[in-house]
Amino acid sequence: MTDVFRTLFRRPGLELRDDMTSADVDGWDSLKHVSLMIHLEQELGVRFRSEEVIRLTNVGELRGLIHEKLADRPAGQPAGQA
Amino acid sequence: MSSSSHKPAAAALGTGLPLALGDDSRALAGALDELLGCGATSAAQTLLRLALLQPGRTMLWYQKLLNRWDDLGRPPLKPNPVTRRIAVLSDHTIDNLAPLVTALSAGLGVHVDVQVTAFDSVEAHALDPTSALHRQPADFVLIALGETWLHRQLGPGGLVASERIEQAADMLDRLVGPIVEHAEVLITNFAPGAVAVPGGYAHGEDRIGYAASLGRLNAHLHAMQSPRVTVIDRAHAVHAAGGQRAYSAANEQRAGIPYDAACLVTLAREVAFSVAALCGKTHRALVLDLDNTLWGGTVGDAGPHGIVSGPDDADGRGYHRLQLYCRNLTSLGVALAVASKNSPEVRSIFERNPNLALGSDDFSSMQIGWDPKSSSIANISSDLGFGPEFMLFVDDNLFELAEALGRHPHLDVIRAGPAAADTLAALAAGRYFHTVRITDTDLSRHRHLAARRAAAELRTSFDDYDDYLAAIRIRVDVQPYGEPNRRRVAQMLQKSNQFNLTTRRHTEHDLDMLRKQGAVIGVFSYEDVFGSQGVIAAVVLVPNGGQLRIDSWVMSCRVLNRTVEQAIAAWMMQRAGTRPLRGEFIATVKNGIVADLYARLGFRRVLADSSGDHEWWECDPTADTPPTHLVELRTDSWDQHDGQEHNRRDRDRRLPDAVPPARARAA
Repeated sequence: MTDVFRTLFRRPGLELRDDMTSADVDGWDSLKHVSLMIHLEQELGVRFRSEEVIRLTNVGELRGLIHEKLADRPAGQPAGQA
Repeated sequence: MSSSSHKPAAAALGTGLPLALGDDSRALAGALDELLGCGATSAAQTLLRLALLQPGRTMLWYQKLLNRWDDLGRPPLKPNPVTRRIAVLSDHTIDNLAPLVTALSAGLGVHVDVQVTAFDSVEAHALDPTSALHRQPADFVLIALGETWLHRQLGPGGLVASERIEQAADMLDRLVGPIVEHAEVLITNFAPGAVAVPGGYAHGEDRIGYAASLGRLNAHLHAMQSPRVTVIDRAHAVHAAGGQRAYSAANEQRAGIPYDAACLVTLAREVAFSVAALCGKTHRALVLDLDNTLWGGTVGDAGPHGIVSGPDDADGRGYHRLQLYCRNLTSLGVALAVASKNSPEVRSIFERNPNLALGSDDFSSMQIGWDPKSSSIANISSDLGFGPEFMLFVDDNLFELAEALGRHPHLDVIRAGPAAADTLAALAAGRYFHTVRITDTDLSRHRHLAARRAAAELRTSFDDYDDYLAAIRIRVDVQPYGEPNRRRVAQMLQKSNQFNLTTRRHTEHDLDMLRKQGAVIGVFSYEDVFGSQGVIAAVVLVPNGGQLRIDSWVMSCRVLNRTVEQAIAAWMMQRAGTRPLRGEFIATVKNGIVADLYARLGFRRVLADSSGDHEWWECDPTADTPPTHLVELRTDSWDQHDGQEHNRRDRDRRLPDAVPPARARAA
């Protein structure tokens, strides 16, 4: 997850904190947010639903959602692109 | 081996190549950091380009490489790059396509600047002469129309009136018309959508099903093509990314992006390779290795009819399909060439084996011999009349790929295998020979090149090759013959035909007996930065009337000309001590590659039988210098065992004399 943030915002030293919001990261606009979701889906092998994404208010909640998705994933399903 | 003289580039290519062709973006980033840190910029750029051109990686892979290219100041990754501005008009959000197209194009030598307009404004931009599109002309305008536009034109599905299809086709003409005045147009075709729309191929008098109407529009697009209008095969991109699975309802709902990440990657590839083709930057020649690339097995050992190929068996079919794919490429004007390490007479296999789908006429240059592959590629370049940057080289062996890249950094490569189907998939998914226009020049290229085939040979640059060998850190480990390797050694003696000095087919039992009688059996395994190749050579040395006689010497041709044979000779001289070391060569129809081996190693010919097929060579370890080599010879496991062996040899020196009968001495 950190790798995706660092690559997309081009900040190699970026450290994520749970209370971080889009206001804390330069360039985190709606377009970047969509890219973020698409990249995370592909890298982690999960699919987010629109309503789940709209609910998110900070990095901690995003992390929580990802953990939930990974836990729900059937065993043995590979991460990333099929 | 000293490390100071090594070319860092070659070493870097050796360790970095598997990463550039792999899928671990973090490991690759580390390798690139290391290279750039030690000043091996050229090697880093080669790996960056090869990684960018890999198909089917995640969006993050390409984004990382694009960032890296940017950080380096956007250096050219191919010679003579061109710069192009692409404006995108679309009825859906397509901003995420821009970085992907930029990244892929960079790898092809096209530096693009992609401008995406607000979505669903296609007509407004195209038809309004005051729009930004017309005020700031681009070199290319990409028009990407999807389901939003289709629904507006054709309705939501079911049956579509012919009149409506004509109006839609008309709209396409009206959109493209004003743009071709000042830019080349790239327009995507129509693909089946995320959800099957009712209507299908239903056919009525004045109306047809929805799927059939997409077919009509695609036919219209095809007819619209001209020197300034090119269709981008979006339908293929969707298909390649998984068809219906390539669409993402979530992306569509939250951002108006109909596709998932994999489909953005395949679509970007279609766009980038089409632009590159229009700029003359796509590949023109496919250079193929033979053994275990174009067919299964090794022709030198299996013979021209023993290789795996042909439509009639399961294993051969994969290679057959690959060969057909290659042959089809020639119909598009792609030149085929061979770079193979084999005896030159192997070329006759294309006439002799009916199970091959390719004939020697299909190749514009054939380099079959024992020279480094970088030399073969230089020869091919001279035969074809263009540089290696226009070639794609396919080989199953990382060593060969890296060696070729060391001398030709702009060559593109695919690692073949493990199965033929994998090679074919990589070749096809890469879109390397993507063709958008067929010109007479393309069609005649193949014939033209075949006529030029007899070209002057380039001289091999062995300085470069030595640097390469030193850089890949070849280690050869000498082990005693024993339980862990006895089966493999016997198998090599049974099967090796080419690098086999005497073709004595000793079995495991024979070897056990020979060793009991005091023979010294050295078993050699090979390793370099690409990994281990396991046991690759064996020698049987028989103490014999004050001499040490090389009864058998076999080696895998995969490691030929890497100075391994020199290292083995040096080791044998050491074993001989103060005794003369005597080599034997018995000629067969298949071992021509070692006919001059002893001469090359500095031995003197002392005897030959009357036919000349059986020769004896000798060197004096106390006076002759051992041949130079670039191998780190490890003798730890040998030395451990040597003490016992030594005692046994002292106990038992009675062995039959293998010196030939007196009549042979006359020769």
